[in-house]
Amino acid sequence: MNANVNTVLGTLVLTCLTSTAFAVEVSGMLKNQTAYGTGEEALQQQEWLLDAEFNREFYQGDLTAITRVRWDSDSSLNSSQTSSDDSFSNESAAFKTGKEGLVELRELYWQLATEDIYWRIGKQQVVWGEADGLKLLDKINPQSYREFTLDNFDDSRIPLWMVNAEINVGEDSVLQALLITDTTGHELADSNSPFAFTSPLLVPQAPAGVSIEIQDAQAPDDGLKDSDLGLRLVSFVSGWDVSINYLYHYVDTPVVRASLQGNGILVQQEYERSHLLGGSASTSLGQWIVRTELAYETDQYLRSEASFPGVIKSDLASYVVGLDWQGWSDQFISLQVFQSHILSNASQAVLDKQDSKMSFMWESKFLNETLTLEALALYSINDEDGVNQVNLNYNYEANIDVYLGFDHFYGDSQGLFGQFDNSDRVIAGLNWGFE
Amino acid sequence: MNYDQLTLDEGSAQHPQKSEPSGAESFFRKVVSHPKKIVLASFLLLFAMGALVPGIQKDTRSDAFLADDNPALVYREKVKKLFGLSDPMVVSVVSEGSIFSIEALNAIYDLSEVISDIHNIDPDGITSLATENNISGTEEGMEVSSFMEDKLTSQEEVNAIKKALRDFPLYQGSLLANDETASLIVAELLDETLAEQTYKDVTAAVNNYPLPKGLSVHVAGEGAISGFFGTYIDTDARRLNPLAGLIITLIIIVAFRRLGVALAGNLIIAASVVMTVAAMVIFDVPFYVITNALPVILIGIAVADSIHIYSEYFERRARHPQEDIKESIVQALLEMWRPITLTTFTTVAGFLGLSFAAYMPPFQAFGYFTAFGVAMAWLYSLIFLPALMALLKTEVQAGLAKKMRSDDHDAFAKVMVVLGNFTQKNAKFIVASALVIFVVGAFSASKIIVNEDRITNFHPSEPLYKADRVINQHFDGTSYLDIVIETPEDEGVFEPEVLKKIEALQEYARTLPHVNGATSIVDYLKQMNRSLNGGEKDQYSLPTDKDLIAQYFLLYAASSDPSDFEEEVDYDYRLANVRVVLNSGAYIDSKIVVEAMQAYIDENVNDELLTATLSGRVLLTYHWIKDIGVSHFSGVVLALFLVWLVSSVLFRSAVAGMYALIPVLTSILLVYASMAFLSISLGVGTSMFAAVAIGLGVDFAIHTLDRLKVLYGKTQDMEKTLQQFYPSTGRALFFNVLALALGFGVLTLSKVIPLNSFGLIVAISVVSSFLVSLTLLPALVQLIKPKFVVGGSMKNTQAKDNSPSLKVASILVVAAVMGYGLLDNQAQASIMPSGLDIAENINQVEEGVQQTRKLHMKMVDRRGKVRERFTLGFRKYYGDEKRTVLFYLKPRNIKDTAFLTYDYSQKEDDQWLYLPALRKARRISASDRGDYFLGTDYTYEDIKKEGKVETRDYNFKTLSEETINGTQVYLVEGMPKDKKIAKELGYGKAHWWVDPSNWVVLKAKYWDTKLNELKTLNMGDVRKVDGIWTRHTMKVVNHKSGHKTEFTFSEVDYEKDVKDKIFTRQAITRGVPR
Repeated sequence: MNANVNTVLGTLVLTCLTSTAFAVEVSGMLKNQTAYGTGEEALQQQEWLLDAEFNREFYQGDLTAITRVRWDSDSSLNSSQTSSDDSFSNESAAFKTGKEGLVELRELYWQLATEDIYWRIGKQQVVWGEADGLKLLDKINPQSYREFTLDNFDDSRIPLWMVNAEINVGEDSVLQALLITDTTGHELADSNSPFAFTSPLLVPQAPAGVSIEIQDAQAPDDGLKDSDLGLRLVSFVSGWDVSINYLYHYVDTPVVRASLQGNGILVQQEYERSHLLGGSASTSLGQWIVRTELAYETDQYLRSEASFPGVIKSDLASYVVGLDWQGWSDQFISLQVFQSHILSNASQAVLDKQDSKMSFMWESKFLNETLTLEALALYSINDEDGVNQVNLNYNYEANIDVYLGFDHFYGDSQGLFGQFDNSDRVIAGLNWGFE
Repeated sequence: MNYDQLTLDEGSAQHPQKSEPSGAESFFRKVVSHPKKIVLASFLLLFAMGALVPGIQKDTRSDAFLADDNPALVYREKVKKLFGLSDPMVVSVVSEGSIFSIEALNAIYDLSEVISDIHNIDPDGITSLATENNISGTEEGMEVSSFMEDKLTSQEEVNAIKKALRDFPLYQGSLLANDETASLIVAELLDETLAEQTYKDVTAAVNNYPLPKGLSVHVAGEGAISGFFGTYIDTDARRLNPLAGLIITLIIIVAFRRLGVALAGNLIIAASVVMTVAAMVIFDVPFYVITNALPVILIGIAVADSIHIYSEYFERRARHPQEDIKESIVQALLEMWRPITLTTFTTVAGFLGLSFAAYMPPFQAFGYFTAFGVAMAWLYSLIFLPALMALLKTEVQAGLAKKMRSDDHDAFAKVMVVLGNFTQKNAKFIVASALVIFVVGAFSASKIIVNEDRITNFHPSEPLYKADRVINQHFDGTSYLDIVIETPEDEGVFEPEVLKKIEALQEYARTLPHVNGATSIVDYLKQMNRSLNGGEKDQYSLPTDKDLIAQYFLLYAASSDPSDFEEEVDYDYRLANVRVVLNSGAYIDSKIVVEAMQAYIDENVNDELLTATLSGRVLLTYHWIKDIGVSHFSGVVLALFLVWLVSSVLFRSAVAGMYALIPVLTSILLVYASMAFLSISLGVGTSMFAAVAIGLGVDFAIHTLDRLKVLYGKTQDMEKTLQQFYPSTGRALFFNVLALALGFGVLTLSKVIPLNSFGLIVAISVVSSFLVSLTLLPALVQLIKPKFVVGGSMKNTQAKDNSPSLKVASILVVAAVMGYGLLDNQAQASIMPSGLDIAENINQVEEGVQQTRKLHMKMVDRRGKVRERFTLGFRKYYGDEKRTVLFYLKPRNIKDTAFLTYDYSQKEDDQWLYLPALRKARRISASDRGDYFLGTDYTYEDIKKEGKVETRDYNFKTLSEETINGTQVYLVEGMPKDKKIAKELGYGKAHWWVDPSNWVVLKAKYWDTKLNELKTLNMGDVRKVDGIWTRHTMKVVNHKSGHKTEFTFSEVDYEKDVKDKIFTRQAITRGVPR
């Protein structure tokens, strides 16, 4: 099994770390989240996570390993099938026990900072862009959609094996080069889970009464030829944080094409390449922060109105403008506007030629920043659907956070958010850190 | 008088048009249709606010009358620290014969011991025959020995003391009575705020001591007065206020013959008083001595609105018994809401006038909060009362109704009718008499004396009063004026020129009226000189050689305790104190002395050798009172102007405004005349009466004018107008004045003289206002027929919508409030190294170009819960730019969070925050300087400044020298340069305690923009690391929230190379650098 590689590697590493030459720093978090679906009137999630981080210095550089053990006493979000495992490359897959348990090596990397270059080699997360919530340039690591976008990005982002080098150029600039050999793609929610994709924007709509054969996606597997390549130049100029980004990568969602075969429909899934070129800029003006980001992506496959093949190909240009305001003490207010443009074959796509979304966030802190109330609203202007999230977090002790919140979806079931209208949930959770 | 006609007319006028009801009508209809909800809500609000009331703080100190930053008060604090001098308790021991007897002197000895043991008495601050030393000459030189080493056993010993004292001029008149029948024991207090308890303790101790026959003991002194003053008035007021309330309740019952009305009236009173006190709690304003008058005033005002509404309502019930009760209520309110609102606005304007002109915090508070209470009474009268009436459905009492319907008026209405008839017939005579009163009053007003003598606030029967008289008769006096002499260097006092000047100063002081003594170090030196030169009387003079003077002190120190002089001279012999004693505390007396002394000092004393500054209780009283006259008159003028303005707007006629003023003005002049006649001087307590009189008196005028206008509008006939006015509104006003006069009259029963005078004066002004409103005003209206009364027509009755003019009036009042400007008292110049110099020294302390350090943050919330965080920080200077980065290490929840700042000197900072949950560093806006840093009690400015002070933000002043844990420090005060800076920083005032040996700030204290204590910082473990002074612990307590933060720095390293690249956005996304 794929998992064996991981386990072996993990054991080796742990042995390495615990050998006596240098001390190992260990720290960890125990997290619990319980979610109750108000639409289905049933428990949606009861999840326990134990993340452990090990740090060990060597003569040159240091090694970091983050392991995770997950136990879902309510596993509605999980799948018992292994088909979704196919989104994971061989090296990345986790070890699962039934539907409830999971052990994985989240991150494992070695880092070294020299005079001019900073190296980080191994399984890691790299984040690009200035946008919050929706991802334009943040396309390096794939994401798990087990909980749609409701989960912390830190937890939902899937770390990849890559070589990451940041080279100092000039006074205030850094050139980052990435070679990502791990071809793992997005992890989609199981088809029985409350967060399974059903919107025609994302998945083909199966007509009733026809037999369908679905072929599994084949993750590209050819070493260097199938690797992703990324380049980013960042700089701090006249008070602006700017970046220029380029990524040559396999889009993390496979393209799903349908064709007629005999009396039924054959559905094939394939990963396709794309170029991503973009940039970002942000600055502060008094109490305001301005953030902008734009991305031009080639060879995007979008769902089409027609069922066969069910996709159209086009280049996609998107941008986001965000404004944050911190004029009042302990308050953070942020507004973002996203837009994407389909550059060809737009009339055939399910997605509107120009699609706009907005997000609004308000975060308040109280009691010497021990109590945080956050409200986030994502809204699709075209489809008039969205999601509202409210979260109240209390830092009970320095190392214990407890939180309570709810997520509410609304809108037409065809929309990106509206498809989860029945998956509204109330959540409560606990994060317990230890050293 | 034809009521039936009136009924008919009213009947048709009742619903003149079937068109849109006015806003007021819809409002009142809504109120009576939801009575339960409104009553419930009103009660809830009342209880909610009532819950706050126990949180009220009392400040009955007389020093509360001066603003905290008043230079005289500040300087006095300094003097207290330097010399240990403030307001002592003075105990006099009086003998029927001579004090020089064994029993008497032993009693003094015992009492000195007993008193020194009492809590809050400074055991080293007792001055008496038992503690003081005699300086005498012997063959060897000077001998310093106490007058009474131990208790006396023989008459020889007594005689020896007698002789010694007669030989020592210093003590004559101070410790020993001029007629030798009495002696004093002076005891300094440690904490003035406990003075009242200490007075009780001392009195009790003195009473418990078995006095020998023929001896009596009295306790007095400024310490006793200060302590007792506040609570003396307080206790009596609390006794009388309920009595006033009771009397007013009785009057209401008599007027309306109904219990429910009294209940309603009391509820409104309760509401306005409770909400006002709750507001005081919310705004952190303490309950001052004079605030005791506030409930009385509110009682009087709050009840007036109820009287008028009920009067109108019952009359309506009498005439329309078939009408639905709720309809009656609505109609009554429609008739009365306008005049009630008018009177409220004018009363509020009057009290605000008082606040604006007042310079003493208690008066300002009094004006604002009374205005607030009046507004609350108004709200409750217009919202709660109709709702309550709708619930209670009180019906007019049958007998009263009958009287109201017919021409047969009840006794009270009859009286008013008589008054009315008299007025109508003798209008011209009334106007003429009024003019006479005006002239007499104005003339008397010029004769008023501004004076305040605190002891006269106590009834002559009080032991304190008697004791004070005794002491001022037998001794030099109990009122002290201190003159602090400062020389530029240590031992500057030894300069013969300096001492000569002090001697001359003392001599001059003694020539002034009421000054009986002036003591200083000079007197001791003279005695020493005499002792060392054979004891001849002509040797009682100053030595002229500096070294000789220094030697005298040495000799004294050899024989006794040099700290004997700590009340006369400071440790370094750089500062000396001259204590001038007056036998009168009255302002008019001390004014002469203070001004003469200041003039003398300015002309003859201040030069490069020395400067002299006045201080002491006498000076404080001077400052306190000298502006009272001006403040009082400007308050009156301002209040009258505001009342005129508001009335003019509301009546839409400047002339109407003048009419409204007439009764008030007359009553004030009448009061001035009474004060001149009764020799009541204008002091702290009495100066307040004018605002109260204006506030209460104007109501009569407003009701009168408004009612005359309405009635004329209906009848178009002056005679009918006047005939109808007296039995209805006149009757209501009569009850109003009865309530007020009797209510305030209750205060005349008080033993407390200020309360007594206040009650009397207010009663006089209210009654005269009433009389003038009901005679002069109608007379003038009858004779002159002013447009604002006769210009109206049938239409101009309750249907008129007055909201625009009310809006204008309210805007005016608000604008007046906002236009309030404060006169700033510039603090006097300081003496030590200037504040700015010290600030610059602080800023020049070396910090090192780079720094690495670990920080342990411990945060404790008000319940004692502790949260600890550990960080690693780096700092480096790039020219003027400072870059700082902070990485969180523990706990795990926030590990790897990082905060990066580029701190520029001229432009706004650039800041980034890396959040591990987002795996991104985000740009954040340069934080407001006054915002708290990451949940701690330090602001961003505190963190950035790191012990330095921003000279662009503050005006600095060195206040004093102090000691912290054995280290001598300078106390520097910083006041933000303007309000904008204060708001940005969140500080209204700052104090820094700086160690001059290394210019490190050891302690800091901050006040918020309202000058409430905000936080105190204590720095510790200050030592050099790599040659740089480093503070390793910083503890801050936030007094408002009760939250504490402790910073402990460790592994501070200035040598280790800090890489430039660590101060980049990329670097902070990589987590803690290893």
